[in-house]
Amino acid sequence: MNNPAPVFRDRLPEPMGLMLERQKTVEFIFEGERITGIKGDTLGSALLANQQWVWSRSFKYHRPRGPLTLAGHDANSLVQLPNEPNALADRVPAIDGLDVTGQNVNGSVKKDKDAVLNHFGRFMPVGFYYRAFYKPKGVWDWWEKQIRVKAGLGIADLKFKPEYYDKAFLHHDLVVVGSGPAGMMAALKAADAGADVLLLEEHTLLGGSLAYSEFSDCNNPEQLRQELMAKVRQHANITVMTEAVCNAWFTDNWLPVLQGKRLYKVRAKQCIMVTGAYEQHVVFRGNDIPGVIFSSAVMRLMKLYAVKPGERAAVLTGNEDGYLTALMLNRQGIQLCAVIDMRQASELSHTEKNLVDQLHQKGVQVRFGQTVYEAKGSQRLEFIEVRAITSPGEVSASLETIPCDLLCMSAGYMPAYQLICQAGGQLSYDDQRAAFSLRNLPDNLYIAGSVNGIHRLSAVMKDGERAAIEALNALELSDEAVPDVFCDQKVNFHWPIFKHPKGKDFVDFDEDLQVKDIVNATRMGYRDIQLVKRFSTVGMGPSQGRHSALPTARLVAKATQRTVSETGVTTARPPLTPEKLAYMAGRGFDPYRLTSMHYRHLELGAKMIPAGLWMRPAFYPKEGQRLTGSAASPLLLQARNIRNACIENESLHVRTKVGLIDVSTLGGIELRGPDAAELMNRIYTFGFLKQPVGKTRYAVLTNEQGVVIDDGVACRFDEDHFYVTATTTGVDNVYRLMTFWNTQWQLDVDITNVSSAYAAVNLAGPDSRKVLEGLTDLDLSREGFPYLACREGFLNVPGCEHKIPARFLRVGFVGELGYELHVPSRYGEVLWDILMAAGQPFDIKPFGVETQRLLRLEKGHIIIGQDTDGMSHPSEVSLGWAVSKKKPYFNGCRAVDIVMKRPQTRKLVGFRLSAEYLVQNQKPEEGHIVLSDTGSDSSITGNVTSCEYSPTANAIIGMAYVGIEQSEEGGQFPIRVDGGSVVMASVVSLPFYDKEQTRQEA
Amino acid sequence: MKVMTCPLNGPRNINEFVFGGEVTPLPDLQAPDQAWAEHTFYSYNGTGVVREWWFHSASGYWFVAERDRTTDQIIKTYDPSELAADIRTAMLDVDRKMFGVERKTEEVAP
Amino acid sequence: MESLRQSQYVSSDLEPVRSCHYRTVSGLDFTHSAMGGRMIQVVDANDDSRVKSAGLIDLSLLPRVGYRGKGVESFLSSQGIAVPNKPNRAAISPDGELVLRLSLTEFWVLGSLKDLGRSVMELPRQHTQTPASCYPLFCEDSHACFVLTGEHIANVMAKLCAVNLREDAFPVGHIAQTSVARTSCIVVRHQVEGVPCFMLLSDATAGEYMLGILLDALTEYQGGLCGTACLI
Repeated sequence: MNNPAPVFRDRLPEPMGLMLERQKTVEFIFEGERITGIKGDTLGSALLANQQWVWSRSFKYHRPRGPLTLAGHDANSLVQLPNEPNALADRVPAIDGLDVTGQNVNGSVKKDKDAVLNHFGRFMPVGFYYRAFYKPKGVWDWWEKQIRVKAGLGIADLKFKPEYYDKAFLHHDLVVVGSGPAGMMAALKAADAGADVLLLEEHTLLGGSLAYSEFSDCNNPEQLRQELMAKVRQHANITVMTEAVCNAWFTDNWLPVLQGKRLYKVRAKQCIMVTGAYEQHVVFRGNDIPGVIFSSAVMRLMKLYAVKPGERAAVLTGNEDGYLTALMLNRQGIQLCAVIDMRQASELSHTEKNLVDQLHQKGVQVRFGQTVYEAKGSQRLEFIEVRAITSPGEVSASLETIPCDLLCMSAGYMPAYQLICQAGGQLSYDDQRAAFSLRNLPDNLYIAGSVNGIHRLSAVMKDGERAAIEALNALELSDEAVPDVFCDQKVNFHWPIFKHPKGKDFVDFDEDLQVKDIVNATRMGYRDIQLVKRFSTVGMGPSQGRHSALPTARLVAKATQRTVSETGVTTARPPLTPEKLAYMAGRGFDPYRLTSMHYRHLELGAKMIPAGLWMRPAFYPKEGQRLTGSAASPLLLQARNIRNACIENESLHVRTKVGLIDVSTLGGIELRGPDAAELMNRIYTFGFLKQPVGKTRYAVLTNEQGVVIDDGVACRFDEDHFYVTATTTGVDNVYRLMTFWNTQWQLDVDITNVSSAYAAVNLAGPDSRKVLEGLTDLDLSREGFPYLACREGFLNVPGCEHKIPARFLRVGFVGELGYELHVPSRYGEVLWDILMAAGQPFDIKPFGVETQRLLRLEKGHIIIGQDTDGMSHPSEVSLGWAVSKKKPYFNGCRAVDIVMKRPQTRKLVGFRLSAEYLVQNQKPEEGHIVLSDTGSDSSITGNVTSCEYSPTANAIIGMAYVGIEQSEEGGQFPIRVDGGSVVMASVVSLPFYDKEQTRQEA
Repeated sequence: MKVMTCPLNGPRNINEFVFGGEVTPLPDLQAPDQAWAEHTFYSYNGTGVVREWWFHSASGYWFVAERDRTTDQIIKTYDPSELAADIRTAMLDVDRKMFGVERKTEEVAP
Repeated sequence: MESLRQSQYVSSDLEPVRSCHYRTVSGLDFTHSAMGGRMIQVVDANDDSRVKSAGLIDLSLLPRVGYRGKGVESFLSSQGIAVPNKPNRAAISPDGELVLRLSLTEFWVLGSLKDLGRSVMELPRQHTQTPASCYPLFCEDSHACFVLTGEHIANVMAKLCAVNLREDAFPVGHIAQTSVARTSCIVVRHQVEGVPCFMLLSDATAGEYMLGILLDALTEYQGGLCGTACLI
């Protein structure tokens, strides 16, 4: 590396090239060509150092495009990386070996076969796609494919292995967005007063414009930058994040900040937006030819990367920055062939006159009141045609054509308004200054520097301190008087738009929109700026109106005879810059819950299904029947057969022997205190005041609209102690409802959600008593522990001294002799082991949720949420018996009373299909509709809620909502099943199984 | 994301809370069906300050927030025990009226 | 622990208690266990350095008890347990128990590793054994308990929790009842032998989920599981 590569000789001498480590080279591939750069280069600066000025092709006309902002603010610099489309060439560091290609290109960026589109521009007017392809019907389907091929933006690499992206939260007293001179001054001022400050910078270097720009009131901006930076870096109260983009503003200063592979969610008590301003272009024909570039971009190119921007340069300006650029070019030995000021000499300020004198001393003459009317060149700028400005937007005959390969534009600035407008700030246009400024800032948000319309460096720095004082006062860290900051520097030329009869005078480079496109949109009646945007697509490209918003507002205002303030700009919604999906799709949080017996189910080969946040065993296939992957899809016949066989076997086993199911996911609420019964009575529909101790009672909950929303079993273990179960997914809601009312009633009762604290099983089947005998000291006899009783006791652990405290409930959900056992969750797995071991002599088998659903269907028990919907009131599901008619109040009682007085229109009934449907395998599914009759004009009267083949009944049975006139026992009603055919179902009385209820009461 | 200050837990992101509706006492038991229907289904949709119930999920705590309906600014939050006396009296009144009597379910609406 | 993992049955010297996530923990490489398999005493030789940097200790089966009601404050005083004077503050008892005050009327007492929670086990668990308006809670079973330790814990938690848990905003003795990785969680900051710690109490049935989330968040700091011996 001691022999500098040829590329080194082309670079400007130090101190130019702030970013460069001149001893190290990098090599990468662009469009198949080897590019050598210096470490610190971006892809873009290395390309320019190698005279590669064509970076991409434009979106619509496929015109060659090159650098514009060199700040990552335009779409011209979008290139394709191996696994990332739309990378910004002027932001991505040059890395050895990287293979970079152009985008939106048919062929290569230099020879794009689609460049022919450039000549068909007049056939593609504004709104072209909307207007050309909608007739005849269906033609769009063909056109869309063609257009997508031509208009794509990069290629996604679908084989790319995702990387680890995540999110983190940050909290600061003050967040300063932007580390320019105002930002650093604000951060230092605030940090000195004790505020905890976060300073955000989107670029690699701190300092904003200090790093690349020139100032009429500062001879050595780099020295100033180094001084400020040292203070900022050393300050204990300042955290600095570089290459960190604040991508939006959300309520209460909630700022998403992208840095590396992490999305930070930053909460700022106070926020100062020091986002700067975007330089604006001059609109003239050919203003997109590579070589026509912003003054600020040329300064960046020289100062940051030491790249010589051209051999013969011209400057087109409307403010002092053009002169500063010209002087810089001159100092770096670049020939200045023209310096053109759009203003008259008389309009110049004292400072600007000084700059003109300096140029004169270097032998450079300045032209006043003139503009570039057209730029020419195919792949790179070759000539500019200069004309005199006769009135705003109007020009004289051609004065001169000047050969040059670089044209620097300084037409003014647009405040970087997006984040501030998201926060509620409003833009208003000052005709005098020909500039937008921001008003109506929300609380806790301040702006400073050029975004605040202040451009003179000394004033910018004072403005930063001023904003810090405001933020400090709000933080109550100071009570300093807020100083006034004044700056009269005018930076915007009032009308830098020169329409050309032949067009290609671009307003929006991303979308290839010319002056006539904007004007024509208004002529078609789209007067509102939002409609102009949607019709013409102005501002919808990757640069999101940074450079098109201001000229568009001016053009629309003029075309519709309104002020620019009235016209305004379009809404700038988040995100500010394109956001990788990886930030959203990266590590997220998907909580899941496991019962304490979860791994026992897995060991037994259970087919697990989700239930809310839980995983539950659906059924237990035998070894050899376990299907995984797509073969386990319930849509496949084999999987369905295994499921049906398992459910049949498990259900018959429970009916004839004994089965065990994990019901730990049940909700549980503990009510203790003198008013426990009173609370139960006010919440649930039934009466609970007189519920005997040691008994359970069915508890139904209605909402304020009288709809059944939950059910459970209420156990009274003591006068002042209830334990009530709730549905798996409903318990949080029930708990919230109970605490809500008791916050108002102030009853003397403690309400605790114990859902996670208890593991539970249901031991069911004729042999269940035998399994339990010997495991507990409780009297398990029919008389000692009858049906619907509940007990608190202990379960012995065989082989050790320990006893497990347990709650025993004799419930009949599946319709057999059975015991629900609830134990503290840390004993859950041991409970399962004990019962499976004790049940071995009785051939105990586990059963799953799907089997349980069949068993309870055979008993005609409803499941809330499956057999009820958002309208089901108690009578419709035959729960009128569970509604107390006497007690003064329960939740939703008035609504229940009102709906129960009305004539009932539908009812949930049990139904049975005749044997023929079993043979034909025409089983209705949940959700299939019930019809009023079989005629062609029949109406829908209800729907199936549960349906299954019952091996016990040897028939297809189910429950369905039917019209009240169809609900009579013995009647028939039609169900429309898959494929549109209709099956006839007979209404039968519930339950289907053991109508005498002797089995569960055994 | 909006921040709300919980009287028990301090300022928290709004997604830690569950909305519980406006603070409106139940009509009393003797009130006509119309009053109950309005209470159940209608809510005021105008400007001004509204008193609302909010629930902090992680701590299981109900409290009251006063919010400006126009600006969505939360003006203050407090424990329900600090509810204005008139609201508390109205609640207790209904409490007394409602739970001391037997309800007649068979009355027919006029 | 090997026996606990493999056998269907419980050997007589072990108390038959298991957390919902014990398999995830016992699947990791460790050498000793404490309290009849309730806790991991030592994971490996790196425990001490890990605990100072970014460690995670599972205390789900260390005894604890909570009470709620108007009578709790005086009941705890009668048991010689001093309570914090305002909600969302924690205090350490002379025996090393951590006493949490979660509201005006709710208090949890977390057992000390010094006596493996034995003194907390003495406290009543049934409301029939407590005075009026003093209801025992079920936090031994409803909650898993993890301790994050070391200098990086605030950064680890910043990836999981929207509340500012850095020491200047959340000093020792402060409690946040909040959402951690979209799960309700009680976060307590304390300190053991100069090592900063967060005690995390979250839903027991989501213990495996939380364990996975915490271990993932610790990876950035080369952190991981440690044994209880580090904190004694």
